[in-house]
Amino acid sequence: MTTGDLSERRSWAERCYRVMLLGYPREYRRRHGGELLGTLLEAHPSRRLPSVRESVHLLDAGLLTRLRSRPAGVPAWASGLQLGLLLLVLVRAGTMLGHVTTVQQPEAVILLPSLLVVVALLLGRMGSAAVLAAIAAVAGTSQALASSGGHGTDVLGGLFASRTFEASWALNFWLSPGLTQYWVVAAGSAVIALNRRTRGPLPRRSWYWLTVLLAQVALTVGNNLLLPAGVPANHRPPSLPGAAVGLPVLPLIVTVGFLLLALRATVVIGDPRWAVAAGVYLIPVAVSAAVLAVGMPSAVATLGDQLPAVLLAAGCAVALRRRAPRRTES
Amino acid sequence: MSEATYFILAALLDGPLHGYAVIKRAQEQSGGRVNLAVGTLYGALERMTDEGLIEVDHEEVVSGRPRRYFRVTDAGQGAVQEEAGRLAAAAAVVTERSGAQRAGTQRAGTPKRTTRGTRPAGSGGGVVIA
Repeated sequence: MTTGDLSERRSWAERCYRVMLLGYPREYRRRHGGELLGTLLEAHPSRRLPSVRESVHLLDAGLLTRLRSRPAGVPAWASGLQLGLLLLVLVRAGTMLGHVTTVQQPEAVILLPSLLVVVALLLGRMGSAAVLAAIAAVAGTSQALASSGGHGTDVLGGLFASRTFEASWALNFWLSPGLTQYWVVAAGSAVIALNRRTRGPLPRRSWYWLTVLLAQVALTVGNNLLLPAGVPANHRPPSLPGAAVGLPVLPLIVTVGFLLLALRATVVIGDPRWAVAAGVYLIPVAVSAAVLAVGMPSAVATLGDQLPAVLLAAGCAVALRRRAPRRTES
Repeated sequence: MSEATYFILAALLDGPLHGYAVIKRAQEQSGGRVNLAVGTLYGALERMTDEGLIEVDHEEVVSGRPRRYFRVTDAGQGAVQEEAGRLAAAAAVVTERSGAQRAGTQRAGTPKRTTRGTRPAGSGGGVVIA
């Protein structure tokens, strides 16, 4: 092999490695990207393309480095709680925005605080988030009292939001994760804001989180356009186009993917933040599943009803298991 | 302690090394069983630095790219020696029993039998450490 061949091979490999290094946080890349690249090229001097094994480990290490990076001085429980609350409001606000463009038009008193809660959580302003979420929760609950709720398909677990039961209003409240979500956000934000150790704003979250909101908007719009108005997600006629049938599966896949990621982060890194976030995110649907099981035992239990509760329990168990050895060491 | 952590610490016992040298040394010392991927190695190095087992000794620039040399701390030395002792004690459970059995069979006048003890590092096939 000539020197020119080797040089060309290295340049191809180097380009591939540079792309894969994008999996690492920017700050990490800035400090150690060159060193990693040098080691990769030194370890595989004659490869034209990176090996599958090296690529998988590099991408995995980049993801774990991202998951491991935690704002200094913030307790793990507060960071995880903030993340879980952020996911809840991103999905809820995305659903509302999606409905604005199609069938349902939420009142401004609900929509505006919902969007502002997203901004407050991204900025780490937990006191403001608590107040705004409380306003959205009160407004949403009042509206639900006056009229029956609509239906929708939420990214990351709100799939279970649509239900039609002839039951008491109180039961329907607990069975509607869309209604309980803002109460959870208000309570969680207040806990962080009032805690002595987390006084003051938490560090800002990346604005890239807004992509979750945009994905939810797209999903809701698509869902509303493809489905006949007023037909709940679980009562669709069989003649619907394939996209309308496949659309509800998408949030379930994203939800399970997110939960598996949280589980892996908890197990591999030993950081309970992601399990806490997953647990917080699942509280509304887990409450709904529990109330359904207790309050309406005659209702047929589906995987969708039970899965969140099972995943929530698994996430908590892993978090506790990881914390136990640390306690004994200190 | 994971096998990767053990061999990284063992590799650094003789002095500071940079990332690629750690990979090579761990591979040699394990007889080829521990083949660290670069991503995995640096993830482990960051974690071990956070845990105080190793620290950056110095940095240099080679071919325009920075290179950190890591060295083991006192805590890291203690941890790897403790792990080595634990592994030796675990191995002794089997090797001493095998030795006693061999002595017993020799005393009884039966033909000498070869008994396999704990396989030394480097005698087995390739195992990739993730």
